This record gives sequence, structure tokens and C-alpha cells, in this order.
Amino acid sequence: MNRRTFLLQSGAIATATISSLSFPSIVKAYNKKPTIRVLGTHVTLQEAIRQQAQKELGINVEFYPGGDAEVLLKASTDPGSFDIYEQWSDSIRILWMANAIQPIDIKKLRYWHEINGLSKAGRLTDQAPVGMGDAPHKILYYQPDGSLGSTASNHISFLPYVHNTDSYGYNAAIVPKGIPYETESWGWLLDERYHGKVAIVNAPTIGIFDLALAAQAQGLMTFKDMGNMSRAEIDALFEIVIAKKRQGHFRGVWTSVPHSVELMASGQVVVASMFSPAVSKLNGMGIPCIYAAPKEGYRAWQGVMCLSRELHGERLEAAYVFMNWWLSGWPGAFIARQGYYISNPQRSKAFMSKSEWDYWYDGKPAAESLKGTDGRISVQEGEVRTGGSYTKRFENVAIWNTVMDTYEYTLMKWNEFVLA
Amino acid sequence: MIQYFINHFQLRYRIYASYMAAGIVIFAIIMMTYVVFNKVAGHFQDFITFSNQSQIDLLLTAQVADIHRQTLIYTYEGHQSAADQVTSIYGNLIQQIDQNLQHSQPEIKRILTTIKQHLVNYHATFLQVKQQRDLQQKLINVEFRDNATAVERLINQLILQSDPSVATQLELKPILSSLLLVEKNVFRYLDSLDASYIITAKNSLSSVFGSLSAINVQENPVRSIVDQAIYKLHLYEQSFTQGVQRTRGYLYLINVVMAAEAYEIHYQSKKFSTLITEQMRKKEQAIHAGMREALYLLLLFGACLLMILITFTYGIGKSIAMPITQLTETFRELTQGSSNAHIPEYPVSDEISELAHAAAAFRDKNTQTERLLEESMQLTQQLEKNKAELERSNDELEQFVYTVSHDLKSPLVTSMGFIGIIRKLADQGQYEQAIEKLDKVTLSIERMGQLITDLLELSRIGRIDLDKKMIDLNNLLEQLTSSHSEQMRRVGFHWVIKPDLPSIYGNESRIRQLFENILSNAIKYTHNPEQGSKLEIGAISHEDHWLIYCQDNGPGIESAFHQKIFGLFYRLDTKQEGSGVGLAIAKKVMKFHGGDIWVESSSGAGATFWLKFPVPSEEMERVEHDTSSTGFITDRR
Repeated sequence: MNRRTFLLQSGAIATATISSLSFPSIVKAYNKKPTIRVLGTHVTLQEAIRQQAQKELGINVEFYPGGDAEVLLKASTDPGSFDIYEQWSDSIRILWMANAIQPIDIKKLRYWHEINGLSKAGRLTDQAPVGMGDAPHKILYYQPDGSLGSTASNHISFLPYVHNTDSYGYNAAIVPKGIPYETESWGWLLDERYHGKVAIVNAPTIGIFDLALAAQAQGLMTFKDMGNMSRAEIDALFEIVIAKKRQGHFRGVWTSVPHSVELMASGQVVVASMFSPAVSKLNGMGIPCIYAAPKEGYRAWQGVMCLSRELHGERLEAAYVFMNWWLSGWPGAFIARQGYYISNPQRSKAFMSKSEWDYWYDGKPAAESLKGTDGRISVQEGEVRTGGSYTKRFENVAIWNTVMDTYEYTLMKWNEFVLA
Repeated sequence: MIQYFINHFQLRYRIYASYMAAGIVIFAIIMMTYVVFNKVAGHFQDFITFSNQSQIDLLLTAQVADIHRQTLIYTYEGHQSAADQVTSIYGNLIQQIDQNLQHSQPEIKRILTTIKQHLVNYHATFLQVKQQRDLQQKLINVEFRDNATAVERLINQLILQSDPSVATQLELKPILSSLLLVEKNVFRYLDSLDASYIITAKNSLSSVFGSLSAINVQENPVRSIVDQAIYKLHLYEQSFTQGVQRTRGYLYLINVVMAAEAYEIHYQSKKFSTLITEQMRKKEQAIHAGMREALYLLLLFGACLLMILITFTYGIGKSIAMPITQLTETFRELTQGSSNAHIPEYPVSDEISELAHAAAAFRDKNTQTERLLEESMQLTQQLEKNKAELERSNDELEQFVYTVSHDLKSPLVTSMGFIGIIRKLADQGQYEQAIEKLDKVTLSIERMGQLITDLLELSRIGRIDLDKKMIDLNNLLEQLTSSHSEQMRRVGFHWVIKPDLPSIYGNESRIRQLFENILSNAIKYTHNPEQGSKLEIGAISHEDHWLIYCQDNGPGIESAFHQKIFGLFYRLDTKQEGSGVGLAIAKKVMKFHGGDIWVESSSGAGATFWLKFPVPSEEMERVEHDTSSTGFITDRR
């Protein structure tokens, strides 16, 4: 599954589950082995990973994948319903405020020291700018006053593991091909040339930054702090985009990866904020969709693993074992074949071929055809990953997915935008 | 086609066929009209259907806006009637969509199905919103208040039971203020949905936790109450934290999830509207085009059928009229007595064929009548001919009688003269002289005898020796040459016979007699001392006759005598011996053989006798051949 097929599965699937606030019973452990329940999204809650974890760890692992809103609401209101929570760093503030998760003891993290600077300091290299919004390190450490901050401590709010950069995709059969980091720009989302053929992801904590980056790139407005917009800035931004929408500039919003694929494949859309699996899918369908490397930088996201506030004893220890396993190499290599990065890449390198490492991490042309996790060829020989290497991509992070202080207000403005 | 009808179908079937063709054409035009108007009616029906479907579009547009408005009213005001209205509108919309789904085209059905799916998602999400809101209301209005009251009660209890030292009182009273601030900020958050109030509330709550924990650090008799207060404070915090999350939850659902569903319904509805409008426009065009096409087709089809009908009817009519017209013409000819009137071929047995048979019978009668007439005419002609022949015979007989009387009388007169002389001489006693004169009498009598013999010979021609056969003139003349060679040698006469003379059909003795008479005359009368007397016989073919010429080089015959010489006892040169019957016999022989004889000559230039023989027919030759082969000579009388 892809990272966010969920978004509006929170509309269809989620509704049923949210109401009951309980998951359907699935595999139950009938033996004495400890069982951990993992609540999260389809990005990481994949059956192959669960099987591998059970095989290597000797514990029972239950996955409860769901849509973004669904799992966040569940985790924030019912900590007893999960042991480990896997989602994005922008959900940490909500979970922390809801007192749904407990601090993670660094001493119990076997590979903590291998985790790179992106998660710990907000950047991979010294010259790389720290993106706006809640860069992972800003909310990583547990502070003595009970808040979250970047000051190192012995406890952290989440274990950083899977991450990636997002941008927008465009159909190169219709839109003139741009130059990565030079001419490709978020401004294309508001470009009049693509009037009526633009779509935005239907997630306010993500889509609002796509719109903000586009408006700023077009010179329509500036932000004091795009990562934490004021109500006035939000009003100004939505005034612009709602006007655009009323003029028919946007086809609409997409609510899942398949939906975004359908919109571009059917020709209804030529430029859209997009997730990488959708781009791969479109390319597989023969549609030359290019995942842009905007000159303004990417919108980055950090996958997090959190421990339920109510987790303790043997299951807590099992949860630590599971978290350590995630950084042990195999899962990182597995997820790399789907285009995602792990926070300690070097350990995964041993589990990847040189060709795979060169293509996925170093941004080099594929020396041979590469297979995906489903065993099919996903990368043809000679192909180069858009955006370049891991370092190059994360040296160009404009903003991190963030739940701003104006979250509720944003939701209401988003409603106006969607229905405009 | 016409001939085909005539040759293959009876008259009544052709008449039936023409009526049937007319009926088929009328039926085809009716069917065509029905099909065309049915098609147009179908277009009209589709147009009406689209018109009806456009109503669902208007309904969707209006009611989806209304349902979302009611949803927002319920969300922010909590009116149950708004929630009921949402469910009612939803049910109504689903019912309308389901009704239209039953009759829609695939494209419209696909859009309506999509709209329905979004509507179902929308309503399902609304139910979750309702549930989340109910939970939030319960958390805020019940648990949050109860926990707040419980904490306040415990704090007040602490104030009452704690030492009335100033320090403790000073620590406890601000807690009440902080608790009030927490509550105030929570409700401010719920009113404004500004998360900063929650942060303020959390901070206030943290200070309360801090103050209570500080009190419990010291040993005091109210520790248990403080512990209870801290416990309740946790529940208090949990209730409003969960309340906030539920609020955020349903806000997300309504503002993000439901808004997207509503927008998709709007979008699909607009698409639906565009499609309906476009289809209605197309249908309208199709109706116009269909009407034009229908009229055109009807005209074209009608014209074609009419042409076919006219052609067919013309063919049928012609197939009936043509043989009747032909037969009418035939009968017209037949009534005029024609025996060779053309009767058209008519292979089919029907009423017209009966007419044709009648015409054939009529023609046969005419043929019989004509033949009888012809026979009658032939008989009349024959009668006329016989009459003329009889008259000619009578004339000839009279001439003959006259000639015979005259020529026979002459020797008698001569004899009677000489007898008178002899009597006188005898009376005178001149017996010797009288006896001498007796010779004269004898001669006269002999001459008369010769005349009578010749007459007998002449009379035999055509009466006896009537048998005929094929006679090769080459052989005949060769035999004749042999028998007269001595005589010709003696008088120095040349007899030239041209080769390759024909064979003729006749009586051999008479033909021989014919050539003997000609040869005899030639020998007697041809005197050409310079060139030597000669007779050349040759033959030429002329039409259906053989012309045998006998050309001498004698003194010739003046034209005045060309006919006379064939008369009985007519002699040009009386000095020569002869009775003057030879050429008459020749004439009669030629006549007997269906031919003729004439002379071409002028004085001093010789004479040519032409003998005209009919060319023997193939039948004569075949009979002659058969007879010869069987050794029989057939008497043809």
C-alpha cells in the first residue's frame, strides 16, 4: 500500500471504525508469546513487514492500518486501543497534548546513535536549511517541563524512522517539462496555463502548505512563518485560492492516491500535489508523470513510532524490541524499494544491492532493472530518480508537514475552499 | 423482365402480382413511416427523459447545498432538527437517484452511481460526526463539568479542613481561580475553536497540578483529599482533552471529508448537468435531423417504391398487353386472309395462349384456303392453257389439214393430170408415151406416199416412244457420226462435235431423229466450197437450260423464214429432196421434251439452230441412276 491511500478512506472506512472506537477482532494470539498492537497507516503497516517481524522477533504483531484522521482520532482519544502508533510527526503535538503517548527511553533504542541528523537536528548536512514548520527535531525530545523541544534529553516523543519528500506531479505529455530545482516550481499549481486542470490533496495539514508554497512562488503573498501561519495569513491565502477555485482553476481535491491517479490518468488534471506511489503508478500506466523537484524546496514528512501511554510491562518491552527491529536493516531496505528512506540508512545498505543503493539513495542511474517489493520490475535500467540523491532531496526541504496552532481554523477555511 | 413474366407466369398470376406489388409498396411505405416516426418518437421520449433527469440535477444542486447547510447548523448549533433534516434530505436524494438509475444511459448511470456513492459516504460521515459530537457534548457538558465540580468541591473541602494558615490558604485559593480559568478557556475554545485557549487551559491545569503536588509534599492531614483532588483533576483534564480531540475529529470530518464528498457531488452534478444539457442539445439536433431525414427518407423511399411499382406494373401491363396487341395484329392479318401471319411465341398456358392457339388454327385455315385458291388458280390457268393449246391445236389442225390437203392434193392433181394425159395418149395410141407418163404418176404417188409416211411419223411424236431417260449427247452424237460418216465423207461434210456435251433427259430415238434431221438438212443445204461445209455442235449452260447450238457455214436463212421453216412441208429449196417435214418434226420433238428450237441466221452467214433442253432435275438423275443400276427403264407415262 502507499503512504496515504487513507486520506479519505477516513470518510468511508474510517467512519465505521471511528464510531465504535474499536477495531474489528483480527488475528489473536493463542500462545504465550507477547502480542503488540500497531496502529498506523498503510505506508508501513504492510503484511510482508509484519510477517518478517514475527519471524525475526518471535513475538506476535497485529497491524491495524487506517486512514490518517481515523488513526489519529483513535490514538488521541483511546490510548488503550494500541501499543505502538505509527504515523507522521505532525500528529505528535496532538497526541502529546492528548496525553495519549508516553516518552521513549533512548537507552532502550539499540540503533539510536545511528539515526542521522535529519531527525535529530532537522538537516542532513550543515549547509542544508532546516525546513519551516515542525521539523522532526523540534518536537523530538521530551523536556523537563513536560513539553516537547529540540533540546536533547534521555527521552523522546517518537522514534523517527521512515521519511520522504513530497511535491507535485505533472503530466509531461501536456505540461512542458521543467528543470528540477531550476524551473519546476510550486507556483505551477496556481499557473493560469493549467486552469481547470489542477488538484490538491484533501488534507489541510498538507494541502495548505502546497497552496501556501504556490501562492508565495507566484508572488501573490508572503508569510511571516509559513510553518505556523496566523489567522490573517490563512485568511489571505484562502482568499486567493478560493477566488481561484471560484474561477474554475481547480478541478478539486483528491482524497486518496488512487483518486489522484484517476484524475491525472483521465486527463481531468495535469498538475496536482501528489505522493510518490501515484507517480509510479501513472508511469506504469504509460502516462509520463514527473514528480517535480520544486526550486522552492520540498514538503517533507517524517514517519514516527510512538508508545501508548497505557503500555507497560512485557508488552512495553516487546514494543521496544519491535522499534529496534525497524532500524535493524531489513525493514529499511524493504521500504527503500518503495521509494521511502529510513533514518539510519547505512544499516539498511547491507540489505540492498549496490544498484539498489545507488539508485534509491545516491540518485545514480539504475545499473540494472530493479524490482519492487512485489517482485515486479519497478525501475528500468538507466532510470534516474527524480530529485537526485537522498542528501540532495533533503537539502531542499522547504517545509515539514505540520499541525499548526490554527488547526481548527484551517479546517473551516479548508471547508470554504473545498466547497467554493 | 417483360419477356420473363410472359415466359414464366400465367396471366392471372401477373395480375395478382401487380396487385400484390401495389399492396407491398403501400405496406412498405406505412412501415417506413412507422419506423421513422417511431424513431422520432424515441428521440422525443429520450428528450423527455433527459428533461426529467435535469430535474434530478436541479434537485441535487439545491438539496446538496441544503444538506451541507443543515449539517453545519447541526455541527455548530447542535439542533437535532437539522440532523433529522440531513437524514430526510439524504433519503429523498437517494430515492430520486435510484429512480433515475433505472432508466438512465450508461454514462448518466455512471455519474449517478458516483454521486450516490459520494452521497452515501457523505451521510455515513455525517453519522460519525453526529456520534463524535454527541460524545464531545457528553464529555464537555457532563464529564467535564462533573469533574470540574468534583475538583472544586475537593479544593473547597481542603480549604475548610486545612490549617487556617495564611500560606496554605494562599496556595489553595488560586487553584480555584486556575480551575475557573481552565473551564473558561475550554469553553472559549469550544466557542472560538482557537487552540491557544486549550494551551492556556493546559498551562493553568499544570499550575494546579503543581500547586496540589506542592501541598502534598508536606506532611498534612488532608493528603488523602489532595490525592483525590489530583485524581479528579486527571479525569478533568482527560475529559476536556478528549472533548477537544472529539471536536477536532468531527471538525475534520465535516470540513475535510464531508466537504470533499459534497464538492464531488457538486462536481459530478455539474458534470451530469453538462452531460444532460449536451445530450438534450444533441437529442434536439437529432430530432431536427431525424425529422429532416425522415421526410427525406420517406420521399426517397416512396419515390423508389413508386418507381419500382411503376416499373413492375408497366412490366406486368406490358406482359399482358404486348401479347394481346401482337395477337390482335395477328388476327387482323388473319382476317385479311394471311396464311403466314406471325403468331407470337407464348410458352405459358393461360387465356392468352388460348388466343394464340386460336390464331394458329385461324392461320391453318387460311393456309388451307390459300392453297385451295392456288390450286384453283393453277387449275384455271391450266384450263386456260389447255384451252389455248386446244385452240392452237385446232389452228394447227386446220393448218395441217389445209397443208396436208394442199400438199397431198398436189401429187393427186399432178397424177390426175398425167392420167388424163395418159388417157389421151392411150386414146391416141401413143402407148409408149403414155407408159412413160405413168412414171410421172408413180412419182407423184410415191411422193404422196412419202408425205403420208412423214405425216405418220410426225403424228407419232408424243404419242408413242414416250419413254425417257438420261441421254449422254456425247455418246449419241458419236454414234450418229459413226452411222453417217460414209455419207459425210462422200459429200465432203465436216461434223464438228464439241467435247463435254451435257446429258439430257428424253426419248433417245426422238433425240437421235432430231439430230439426224438437223444433220441431214445441214448436209443437204450447206454448200461452202471455200471453207468446206461443216456443222459444229456445242453446248452452253444458260440458267436452268442447256442450249445446244448446231452451227453450219451454209448460205444462211433470211429472217423472214426463221419461223416458216419449222412449218409442215415448208421447204426453202425445192430443188433438194425432201418433204419439208424434218424441221416440223424437230420442232415437235423439242416441244415434246419441254424445250424449244429456233434459228439464228442471216443470209450468207450460215445458220445456227438452237436447241433448248431443260437441265435434268436431281430427281431425274437419281431415278435414272437407280433404273440403270437395277437394269430397268421406267416408263414414265
